[in-house]
Amino acid sequence: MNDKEILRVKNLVVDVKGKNGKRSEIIKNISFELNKGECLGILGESGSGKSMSMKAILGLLDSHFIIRGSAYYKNMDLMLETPEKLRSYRGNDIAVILQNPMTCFDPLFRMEDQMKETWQSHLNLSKRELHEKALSVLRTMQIPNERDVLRKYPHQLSGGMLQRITIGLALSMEPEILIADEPTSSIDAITQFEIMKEFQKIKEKCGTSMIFITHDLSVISQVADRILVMNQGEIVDMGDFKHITTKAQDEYTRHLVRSKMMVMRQYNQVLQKGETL
Amino acid sequence: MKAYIFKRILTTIPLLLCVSFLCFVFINLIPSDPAEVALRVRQTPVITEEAIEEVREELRLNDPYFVRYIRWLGDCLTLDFGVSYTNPSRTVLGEISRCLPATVWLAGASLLFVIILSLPIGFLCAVYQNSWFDKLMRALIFMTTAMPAYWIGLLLIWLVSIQWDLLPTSGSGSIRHMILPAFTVSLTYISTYIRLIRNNMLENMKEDYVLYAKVRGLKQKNILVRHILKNSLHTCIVAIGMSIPQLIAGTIVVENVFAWPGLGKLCIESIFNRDYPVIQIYVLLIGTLFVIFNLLFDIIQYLADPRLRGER
Repeated sequence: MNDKEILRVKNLVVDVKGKNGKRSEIIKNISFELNKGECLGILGESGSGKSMSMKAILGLLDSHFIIRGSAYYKNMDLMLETPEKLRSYRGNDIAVILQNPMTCFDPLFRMEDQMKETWQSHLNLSKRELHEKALSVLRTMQIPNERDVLRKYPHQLSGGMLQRITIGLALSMEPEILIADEPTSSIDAITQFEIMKEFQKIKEKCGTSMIFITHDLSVISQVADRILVMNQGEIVDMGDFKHITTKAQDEYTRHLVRSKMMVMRQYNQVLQKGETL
Repeated sequence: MKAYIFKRILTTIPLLLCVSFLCFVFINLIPSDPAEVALRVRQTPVITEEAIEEVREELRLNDPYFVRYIRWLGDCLTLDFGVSYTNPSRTVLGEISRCLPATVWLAGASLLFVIILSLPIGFLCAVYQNSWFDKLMRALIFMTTAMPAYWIGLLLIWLVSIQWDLLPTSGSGSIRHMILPAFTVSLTYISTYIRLIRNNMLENMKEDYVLYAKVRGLKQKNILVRHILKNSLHTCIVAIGMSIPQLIAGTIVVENVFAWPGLGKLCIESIFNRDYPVIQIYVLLIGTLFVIFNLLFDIIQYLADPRLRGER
């Protein structure tokens, strides 16, 4: 692991144990590295193994899965760490933003309680400090009526607002790595635009190393410095956006790019028609 | 919130009327003539047509059906449930009030057994899913569900009271008398609640909020107890609401096995003696308890769930 790297995943294999005792490989020997301050995009369709790889690295898979390989973070192999050590990294050193903000929070707790418990798991803060921190996160994320928002339950807030809270919550711990797992795929187009602006801001201002997982080529083009394409548990291509769109070697990547371009062309045609009307 | 509670209470009134009407109709559908039964119970040596007619007049059985129902309902509202046929010196209210405390104690002790045993076992079965403990508990649940309560009661008497001589075989008067009948009543419910808590917890473990709690680095104990268990118990609230009247009604067989002087024993005795007023009020009481507990736990669930409260 060199000085530039913050995470190096080496020969990661994930097997799943079937009911008949048979094992099937779902992540097939993948290796990649994340450099400091870099945004690495992982592109692939549903079921290609993008999220599964991240869960394996963070120790979030249960005993049905057998994980081999290594994932070095700050020269420590995460695969060899104890569950308690991994827990202390999660949310603190490595923050994660998930796909569906509407279902991410426990429906029975107020937002303030859920934000506070995140910090209570890692920091030793007084009640007053926790409250102030919660208010400051909401202010940073430009969420209006922050005092009211803290008293609300998740179902009382919009998807966009909840996703901004998850981003704020993730950044509040000043993580070394931020993993965004399809953060825009279950929100509407306008909110998607706003959320992507937040990620661009994080990249420009905070310089946090990021892994951005998505199936959407246009979303990944806005933030990723380097893109890694996954298909059926394998890394099939790697390079910057230009490389992926013009010089991809793999047939699956070319197919992905072609279909996306076609959709974009149709979309532009519809827009032009709308303008001429 | 107040509007919801008021609306729920209002909807309960027609439901209670339906329960009372059905209770009145079914008891009156029994083929034997109440006047004749009353005469037999009073041990009248010769039952003549005139005597029957006299009792009919006395019990006002000749009035139209609906008039009798309204009169009976009015009497019930003033807690005048009439007198027992078997022993006219005793009122039905007196009989019910005499036996109700014993049944409430028994049902309360059973509920305590249910909560004390099913909560930790259900929790551990979910946390250690497919472990030897989970498998053993599932086997026991399967067995206890398949065994009827009266048979388990008899087995427990044979084992605990006769073989081991640890607890009394029957009767009442102390906590020691209550343990076996309460445990017997609770056994079916324990199985149901272990399964309910285990399955609810396993379902909740797959939810996004659990994954998000894990990626935020929350402690495992915190995730399991504060989030998963709390969410899982939410669905149990409604079930508990229905189980309490079921426990009170369910003591009927066990009370007879253990000679426990409660409502169930009174009901069975009244059935054998064809003491209709007592049976009628017993059925009405149980029906009313179901309606009231349903209402009560609906309101509790409403208050406990912010989504149902519809807070904006």
